[in-house]
Amino acid sequence: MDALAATYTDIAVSDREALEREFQEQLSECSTLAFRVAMGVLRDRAEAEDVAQEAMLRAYNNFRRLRDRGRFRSWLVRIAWRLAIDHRRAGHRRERREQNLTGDDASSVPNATQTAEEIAASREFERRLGEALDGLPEKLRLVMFMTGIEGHNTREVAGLLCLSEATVKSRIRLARARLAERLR
Amino acid sequence: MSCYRFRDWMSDAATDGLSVRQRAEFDSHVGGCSACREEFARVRALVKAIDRGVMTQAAAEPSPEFLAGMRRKIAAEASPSLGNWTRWAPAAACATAIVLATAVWILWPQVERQGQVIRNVPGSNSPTVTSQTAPNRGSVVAVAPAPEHRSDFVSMRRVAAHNPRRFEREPEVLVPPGEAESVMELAALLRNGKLDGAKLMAELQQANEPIEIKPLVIPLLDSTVQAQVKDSAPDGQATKREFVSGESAQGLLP
Repeated sequence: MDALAATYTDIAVSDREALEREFQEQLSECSTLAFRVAMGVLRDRAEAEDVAQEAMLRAYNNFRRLRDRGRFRSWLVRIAWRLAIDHRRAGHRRERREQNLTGDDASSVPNATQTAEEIAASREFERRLGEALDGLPEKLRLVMFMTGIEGHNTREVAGLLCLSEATVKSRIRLARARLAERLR
Repeated sequence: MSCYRFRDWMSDAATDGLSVRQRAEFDSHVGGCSACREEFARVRALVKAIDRGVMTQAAAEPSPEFLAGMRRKIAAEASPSLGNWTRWAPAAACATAIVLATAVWILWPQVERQGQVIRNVPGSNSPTVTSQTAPNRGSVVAVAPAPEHRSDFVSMRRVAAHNPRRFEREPEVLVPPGEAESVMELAALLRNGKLDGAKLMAELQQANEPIEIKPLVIPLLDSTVQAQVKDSAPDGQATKREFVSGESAQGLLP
């Protein structure tokens, strides 16, 4: 009986170590992706990092249940996106964002070649663009962000979000048109 | 008037969202209207700025501490998460072994008794009798080995429910109306050992054997055949008459 238990424990430990190694590899590759997805929703670096860390922790705790490890990126994007949406709905973001607008915004570091008017214009445009993005429906906003993250093309976005390419193209076009209408 | 209509199309035109017919109509208007041409150029620049802005926002890099902090959190989470269930692995293995041993201990005699059911023949030593009475069609009496435990009886019922072909191995006897009780008593005697089933079967087989009938020999009639009537009434008892054929009686006659 003891030998059986010891064998069982050895198998469990080796299995756990293999999972740990695999997850650490995924962590290095995908942590920035989780952060960018969260940043797309929250537009606050500190909160996006918190949400990305929480998303990775959830992925870590449920990594054993993920049968197709090739879908890890897609799985992580959905976790991070959902957590960011929940976080924003909780109302934490609004207070921090108002403070950032009055203070120093680290996410829009000005270029040295830009004039004051250009910086002001770009920061104003960034604020308006952020508001316009907030006004988009979730599915349009997610597709819009995913095309901007890491230069994903339509096929890659479709694979990450488990959608057809035609759906992704249609949503991108619709999102851009709506943003243009709001910012005109 | 028509400019308002085409300005509504500008966002779609800048994002290639117009149909072929609409696009041709739009291009022909913009080609001839400088105000709409300027507006369309502004909208196209705006769409490009939106794409750039989204990419800028999406290309944000986390702080250098981000990955290190995440690794620390995961390391802190590691012991209760992935390793949590391994703590219970030895106990789970022991519990599984105990359950398996108990199951084998319970099921093993039952398997043996099921083997007895297969070997069971009419006249075995331990039958159990169940009867179903059908008023007009007689009674069906099933003779099966007596289960020692309730679980055995339940398992036999399950066998009958789920595997009728297997249950057919247990004999059933169709009994004429009114004879079911007698058959049940017979089975009870067999079960109690008061009646030897093998001996009874041998006697039944002997009784069922056809009676050998020898051909009848009829002697020819002869003039010398005499009938002797012998009266013997010793001590006043009943008179006995014997008819003896001539051949066999010749030696007896004086």
